[in-house]
Amino acid sequence: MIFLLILVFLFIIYLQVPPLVKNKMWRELIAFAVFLWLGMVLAVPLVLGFNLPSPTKAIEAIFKPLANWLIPS
Amino acid sequence: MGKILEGGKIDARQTLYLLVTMIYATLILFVPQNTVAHAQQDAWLSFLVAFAGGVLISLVVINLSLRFPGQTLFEYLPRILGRFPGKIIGFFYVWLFIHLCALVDREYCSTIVAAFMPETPLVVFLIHGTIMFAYLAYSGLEVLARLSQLFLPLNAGLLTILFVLATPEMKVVNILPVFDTSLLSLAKSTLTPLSWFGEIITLAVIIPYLAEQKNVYRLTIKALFFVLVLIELSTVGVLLIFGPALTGSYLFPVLNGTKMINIANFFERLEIIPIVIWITSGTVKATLFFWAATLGSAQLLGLKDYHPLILPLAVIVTSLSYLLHPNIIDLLNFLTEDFPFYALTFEFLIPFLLLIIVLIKETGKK
Amino acid sequence: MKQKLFLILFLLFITLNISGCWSKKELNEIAIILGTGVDYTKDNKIQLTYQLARPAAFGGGGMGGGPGGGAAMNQNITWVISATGDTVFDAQDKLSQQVSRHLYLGHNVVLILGERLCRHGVKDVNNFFHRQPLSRGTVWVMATPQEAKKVLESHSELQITSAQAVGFLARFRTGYAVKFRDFSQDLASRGTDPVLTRVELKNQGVAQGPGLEKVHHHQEIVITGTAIFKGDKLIGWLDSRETQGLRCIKGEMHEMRITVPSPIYPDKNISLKVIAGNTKIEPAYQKGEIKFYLTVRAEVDLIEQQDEEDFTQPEMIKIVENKAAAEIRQHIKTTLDKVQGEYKVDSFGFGEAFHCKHKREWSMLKNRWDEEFTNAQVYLTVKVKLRDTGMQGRRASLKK
Repeated sequence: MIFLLILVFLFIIYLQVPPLVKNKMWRELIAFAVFLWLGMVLAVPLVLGFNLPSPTKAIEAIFKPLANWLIPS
Repeated sequence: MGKILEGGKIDARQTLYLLVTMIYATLILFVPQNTVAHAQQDAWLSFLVAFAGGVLISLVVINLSLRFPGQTLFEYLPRILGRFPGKIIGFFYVWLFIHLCALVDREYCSTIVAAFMPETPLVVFLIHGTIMFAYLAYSGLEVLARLSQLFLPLNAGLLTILFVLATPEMKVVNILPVFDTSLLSLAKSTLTPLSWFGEIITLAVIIPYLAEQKNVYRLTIKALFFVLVLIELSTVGVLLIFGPALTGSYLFPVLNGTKMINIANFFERLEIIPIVIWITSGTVKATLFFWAATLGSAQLLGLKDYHPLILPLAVIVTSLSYLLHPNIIDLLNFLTEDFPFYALTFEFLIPFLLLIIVLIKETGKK
Repeated sequence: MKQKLFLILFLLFITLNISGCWSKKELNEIAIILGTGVDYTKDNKIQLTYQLARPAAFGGGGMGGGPGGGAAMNQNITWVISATGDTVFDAQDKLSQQVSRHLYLGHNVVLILGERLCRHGVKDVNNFFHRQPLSRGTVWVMATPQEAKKVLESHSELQITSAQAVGFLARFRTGYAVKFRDFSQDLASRGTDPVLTRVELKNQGVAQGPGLEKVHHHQEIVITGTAIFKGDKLIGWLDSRETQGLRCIKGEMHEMRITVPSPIYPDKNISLKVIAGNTKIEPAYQKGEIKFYLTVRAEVDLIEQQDEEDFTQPEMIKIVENKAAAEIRQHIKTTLDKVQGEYKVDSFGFGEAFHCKHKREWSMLKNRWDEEFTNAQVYLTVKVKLRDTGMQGRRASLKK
């Protein structure tokens, strides 16, 4: 699985990076790299089977008090 | 600047179709169940209230956007709030669109897994969905609008046919008595559909790409009304078939309603129709949010092209939609309990505050 | 070059995925369930019975006809298997270890519940049929005073399987037919107690054929009335005659037969068939007393007369209409007495009607509705209209 994922990432890089370098779009290249790195941070642990904390929990932590305050159940 | 990033222009009709598809797609999938669970047979009433709220939200959003002609939400945010705070709020919106996209993706794939292919891993469907909307986002807004133009008449027609075919199973007594729900339950039941109607905030990203900007108000309210008709059709339809108790217990009442269709022991098993409706409209919906997220991040970062960001963001969306919820019940709980407050903060509160700031500072065009 | 590579990869991806065969179940890998039976065994376990179709045997029958077409006769068309377990799924799991194919619930026609289970409460088992993605709300649900397993271990002379045969009986409204959806709705509703069709396996007719020299008594599933539930527990039965009253109150009178005594000739009868009918329930609540005004309207056709009443005369039609109305009223009275008086439940949906009209009072009464309903007065109005008299007007006089 992890090899497949790396293959996918390599494929994405192969598709996107050469034209960016050719056109000297460095700003785009940096943004691309940052987002791809973010994607890797999310995807690799998932494939390896680690339990990442779900962002839902953070949203719930922020909005649950509001919800409970506005609507008593 | 926006025109350089996204060259597409969509006309009035396409905008209408795009907006309708964006809202009704997941609305008819999940919302009837939760609304009925709270409002019982008066669910149709809460959609009316939600519609009114949606109109209010759209008025705020359009008014705000029209003050900055030719600019998307992400471009005028820094102009209103100043460069740095504006960009931060802008990234919150990018996150919102990514999150919405991941949620839509997850909703559809979970439905297929729960109802049709329980043996297939969820991630298989997620990957297919991602590839589809990454490709669509690559093609741009115009293609997406044309796609919704193709699918929406088909879907609305199919949905109507479904409920016409199901009429032999319907009993009027199932939606009686009217006005039997307490105001509190009604208010609760209104929140989730309201947050769906609030997705009209995406209009703040689309408006610069409309071919003509004169009739945006009328167009949007028309779109919201059309959504209202579709959702009332499906909610009242399933209520007439199952009554409030059963409708509130099924995860996908429209699907169960379709299963009841049996004309002369011959015309039956039409479950593929709701799936066709859900998949086609859901693709358009997810892609629209995805496109808004990529365009938004490109504009916030001052890039010349948003296309390089599509594939990395697609990876993020896929991982997120897998990561966000452990199961479909958790997803539903989130959508009905916390999601409305979270979404409405972005959909109503922030645009409303922005509008007030704009009015006070008198930035932008009158 | 790059585009070509991309295209090739894309095509490969498409071919792998578009066939969508991850969860595939080919027709020759599934065992189609046509009838499901659930019993409650003596040692308090759930006994699940499936009537499986053997598609290989289906082809032989059908169009063949004549003595030669009997290929299917000699083959077993269905296979009835059962297993016990703690839950329905537990039992099914044991069954799937015995069956070489995937058990496929999507074509299930009937769900038959044994009496022991019904008396124990159906709550324990019906959830399985809600959660199964393949299960449908259109399945006919029935209760039997016998063992559901025994009932399913039968075959039909006319239909391919007995499950399909009893499905057709329900579809043609020979009794009060209940779909799984209706049953679940009634279970969830406070204003209606559920009812189920009652079926039994009975000696029914004689099968004849060139190969059958001996008299061969044939057993077939037949509808013999209605099962009355209080909550999810069976508390009694109605016979076929009382079921007619139930159908009148529920407004499902289509195809119902009524026989009335002749107004002129003693000991002679007239038979009528209901073509269309509806029932309206008007609740009233005065000083803590609940009243219901029941209006039944029926259109009937004349089917048979035993003597020479003259149906070309309007007065005669009026008289027969009144007789039929009295008969329907009698049916309803009998059923009401039994259900309201003896079983003390509301199987008719009077509570729902009351809820629609008196929302505020309902919220106080709903928790003890069955008791309240027992004390309620029901006033009857029956209106019958004779529509057609068949192919004859006046009967051809016998010679005098």
